[in-house]
Amino acid sequence: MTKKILIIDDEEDVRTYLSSLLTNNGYHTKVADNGEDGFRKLTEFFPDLIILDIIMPNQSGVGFYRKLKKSDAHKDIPVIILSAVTQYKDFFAHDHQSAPRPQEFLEKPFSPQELLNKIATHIK
Amino acid sequence: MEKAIVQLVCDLAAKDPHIRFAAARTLGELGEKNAHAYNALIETLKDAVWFVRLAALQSLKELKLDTPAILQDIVPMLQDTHEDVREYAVLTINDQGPAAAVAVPFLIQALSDPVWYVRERVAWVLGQIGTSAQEARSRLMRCLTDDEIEVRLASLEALGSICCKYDTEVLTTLNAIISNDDQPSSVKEKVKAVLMRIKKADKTPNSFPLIEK
Repeated sequence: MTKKILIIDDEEDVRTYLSSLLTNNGYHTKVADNGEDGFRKLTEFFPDLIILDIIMPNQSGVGFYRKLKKSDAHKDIPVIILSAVTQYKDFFAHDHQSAPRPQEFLEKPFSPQELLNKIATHIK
Repeated sequence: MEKAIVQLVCDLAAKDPHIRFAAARTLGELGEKNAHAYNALIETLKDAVWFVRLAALQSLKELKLDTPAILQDIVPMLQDTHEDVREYAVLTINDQGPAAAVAVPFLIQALSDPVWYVRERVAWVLGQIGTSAQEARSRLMRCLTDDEIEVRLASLEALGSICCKYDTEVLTTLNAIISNDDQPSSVKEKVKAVLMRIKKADKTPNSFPLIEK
């Protein structure tokens, strides 16, 4: 069965690039341009993995992630954080007492192969 | 290097917020605590765009803040319009070690933040500050009835770091939680662990003037 990936990023170029990269590698994708839109798509699409940007308008990736981990229906979906912000790990560094940390962090610009490897690790 | 810093400081005033963001982050990544760059980053904390303010805050945290800046420049960020900036301000305060204690009264106010994960982070930082945050004790006890379980757990953890075994009010409140059937098991487990910690800790009433009274 084709695995589903939700891409949440405010930059259209990134969404288009990722969507085409993942589709060409056998994944089914859906895109959202901010955290709120991402949450709406989450319920209808129910992805196997989420690729999440941090700096976005309205709800940021941090807010989206916190909300995701509180949702019983979606909290186990693996998340790969993809961001140009190098300090985003600080937000999750002390999360041991509530939500688990995101599965992977990847800094933009990233290598497509590295991203595909990370995805393959989490959805088999 | 000096020339690059001058250019980056100029870029902090660029029209495009993405350029301002990149300049703010690069100044932090260079790791050079230059007075000109430091002051420009402090000024950037007032930028109109939240992610530029966040980038300035991140860079200042990396460059290490001067102690007076905590109250003058970082504490006001606890009321920023964006929750990520508020949360990062809390982390920045925590990064100051013992000097973070000056921010305790403001952190107590921040326990009323509308966003639960900011409240959780504030409670956690008060616990990190430890006994110097004892004026937060009553407010943290009120947080034990917060709607969000994460805030309750972080507040319990903080009380465990702040209170001593002679603090009967806290001990009574914690014991009442254990016998409250409405509390989830994760909270009860945390209470048991915190009670154990408080009883074992070598803190004396002398460091708790509130209790002596």
